[in-house]
Amino acid sequence: MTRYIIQKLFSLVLVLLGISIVVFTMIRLVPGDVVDFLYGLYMGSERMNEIRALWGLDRPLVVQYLDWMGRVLQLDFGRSLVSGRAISEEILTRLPVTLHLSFMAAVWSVVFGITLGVIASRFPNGKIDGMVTTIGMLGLATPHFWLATLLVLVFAVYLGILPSIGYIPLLEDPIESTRSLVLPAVALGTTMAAAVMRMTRSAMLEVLSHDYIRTARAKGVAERGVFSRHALKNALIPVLTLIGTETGKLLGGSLIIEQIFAVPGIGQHAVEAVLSRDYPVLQATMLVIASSYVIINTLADIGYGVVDPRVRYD
Amino acid sequence: MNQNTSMRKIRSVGPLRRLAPAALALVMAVAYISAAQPFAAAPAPKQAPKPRAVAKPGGILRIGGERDAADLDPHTTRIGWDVNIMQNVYSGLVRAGTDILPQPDLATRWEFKTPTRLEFTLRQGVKFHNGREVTSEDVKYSLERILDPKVPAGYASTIASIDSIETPSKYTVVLNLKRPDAAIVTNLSLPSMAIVAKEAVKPMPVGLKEGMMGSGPFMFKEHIKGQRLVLVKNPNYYEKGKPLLDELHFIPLIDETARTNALRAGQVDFIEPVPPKDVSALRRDRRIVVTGGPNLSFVGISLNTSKKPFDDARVRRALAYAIDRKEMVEKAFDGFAQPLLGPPLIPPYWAGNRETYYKLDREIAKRLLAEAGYPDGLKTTLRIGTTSYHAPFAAVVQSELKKVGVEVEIQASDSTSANRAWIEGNFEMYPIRWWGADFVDPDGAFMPLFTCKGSYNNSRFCDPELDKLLTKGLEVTSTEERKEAYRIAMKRLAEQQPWVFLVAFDRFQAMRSRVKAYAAFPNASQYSLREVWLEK
Repeated sequence: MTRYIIQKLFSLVLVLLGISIVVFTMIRLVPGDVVDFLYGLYMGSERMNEIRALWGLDRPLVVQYLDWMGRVLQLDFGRSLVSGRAISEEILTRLPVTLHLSFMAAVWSVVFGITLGVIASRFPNGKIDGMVTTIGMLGLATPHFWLATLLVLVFAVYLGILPSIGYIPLLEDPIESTRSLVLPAVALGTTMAAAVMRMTRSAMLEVLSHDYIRTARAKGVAERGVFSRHALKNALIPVLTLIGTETGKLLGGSLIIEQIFAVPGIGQHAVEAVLSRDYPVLQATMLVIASSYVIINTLADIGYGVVDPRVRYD
Repeated sequence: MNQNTSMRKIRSVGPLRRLAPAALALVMAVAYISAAQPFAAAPAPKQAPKPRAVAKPGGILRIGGERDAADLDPHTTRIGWDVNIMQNVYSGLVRAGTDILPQPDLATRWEFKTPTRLEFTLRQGVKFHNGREVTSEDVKYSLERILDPKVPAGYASTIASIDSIETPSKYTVVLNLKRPDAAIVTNLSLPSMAIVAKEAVKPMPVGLKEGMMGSGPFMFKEHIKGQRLVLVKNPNYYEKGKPLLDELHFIPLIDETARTNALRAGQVDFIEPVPPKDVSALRRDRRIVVTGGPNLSFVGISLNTSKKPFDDARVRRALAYAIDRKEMVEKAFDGFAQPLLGPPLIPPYWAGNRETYYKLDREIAKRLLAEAGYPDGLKTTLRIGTTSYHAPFAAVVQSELKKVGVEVEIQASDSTSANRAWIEGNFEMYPIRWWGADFVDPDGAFMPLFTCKGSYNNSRFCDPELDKLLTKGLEVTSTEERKEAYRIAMKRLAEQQPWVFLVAFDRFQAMRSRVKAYAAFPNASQYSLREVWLEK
């Protein structure tokens, strides 16, 4: 197990190195740099080149990359070219917000998805199952930015019972904090809820067809017991893997959801950095989002081994 | 207060222009305290305004904007939203009025002693937010910082004619200019020409980016990144009785729809700008008031005058006759733009006028084409980028020009490549939006775009006659003389048509109906926030 974790960590470093190169070159392939964004069209190109030199953007890309990477390895992400703020400080205040939102979305979708999935598998191909499956298809097919706008219209504009924007830290006011994240978390977690539900349903149906379930029923275990103790436990193994990858996706989805609900997370920060071509900020945020994704997946892999005794990492 | 009344108010400021500025400030101050609609009241004190409601001080105005505050340094930022915020914190020597003419701010008087020697007299007793008095040394320091090559100041070029700055006394500043430059006073009214306190400036790259400390009506309190930036009332602001609000909260709402919804849900009190698609819906909402109107930015087609067929002024004028502006406004701008039938400066801008040089007349267009040697029409290309209006814009140009026998091939690419082609001259026609709010003086738009040596003269247009007329606008110093100089220059520009001027943009703000006394500025300034008050 320890060896496996070390192996995983080693590949994590390689993956991040790869990501850093991809992110670094990709945003430089996009036409227009930060000087164009800030001073374009109206400032003479000579003056703009002077500013590029001032910021070291005129050096060869390899030099710029090595310089940046060298400082990142010392955990120094540098300063934003636009706002002049220290990037690591900014990320440390924003990452918890995104994690809070993703956590709420994950909890909501796991509870909702597993419950509905089990109910559907209890009555396969019946009316309830049909309804649940339809909800699942809709959930998978609905883009979350569209759902988000719809939720705002209904619950904030027309009914006025939930806030449409903003974020209140959990420690400041737990109730208001939860209220402020209900709509974004629901919008963000819908796809995941639908995926979890469908996976639970099919895994349950698969497990329920096994011989040991028949044996359990034959020896007189109550149907409730068959479901909770025998079937669900085994059906949850593939669901757990799915939860791992889907939670990673939530981080990406929060990029858009944070715009719509004005949640001050890392996604909002990344989008602003894209718009203003703020290279160092974008590089740092992308690296953080990617590492979170990879770490969550690694944790899911390890968790898989804990839940399923047949899986051994030697 | 609907759009029409707000625009009427803006125009009605005109006659006051020549009054003693101090009197203006006094009249306005009294008017703001006594009446809900100060601009209507100010120019016509004889007809006392009906007192609708008395302005009440206090309260918090929550403003939903298009992004989070990024660069708080007034000298380096070029981001419109940052400018909107910082103009409430800093004062300049002069400040643009609703007609974009310079009004007194820190300077009470200014005078050209000679065409190259400009003297400002400062207001006495104005304090920075840290309590220190603003003096001529601060003015010298601030302007020199803007001109410092190590500070990436976006607007430095607009005051580049400054040769040296003298401070003969604590309250007198003299600018020695390299050449006659009447536009410099208007350019000094740009919010970015903020007067800052030396002690607040840190070495670059931080500079003034970490906080704001000026002498304006509001003081910087805090910036909770991504959530809100808070300004609080400056109790010692030099204009007595202002500001009325206790706090301004600037809340970033990047998503357009989210901005509109937050206003409708009552989670913010004011949004700017309003996405054009939401204007009609918001106007129908009785709890909401929409203001705004023509803006200083204009859109036209830059023509490459160095190559056939657009080297001939007759062909360029033919295009101006051939394109139906109404069609353009409806199809490419959802109806939220003003048609331009001549050069691009229109009221309420002080140097603007509504003289029309063109109308839709396809017969004249065909005749001009025939005279220029294209009796059977011609073929040309239109380059476009991915800017949102470009595609519908190109479609309208294509279908309109087809009616006079001009076949247009649309060449689409990403915006940066298209822009590069424009700069390098690999184009025949290219649609351009010129953001006039950055250039409060007509010189700022016309010199770079249309003079032989202009830095953005990508139309490669050269007309010594126009150059002479535009230079005249810098040599005369009174507003009336300058206005006349630009009227004549614009006539020449209209005849020559290096660009086909098509529309001027509209810009809108929307607010809850309890927000009172807001006035829209055609350069998108938010100066009226110091006069705004909230009905309880």
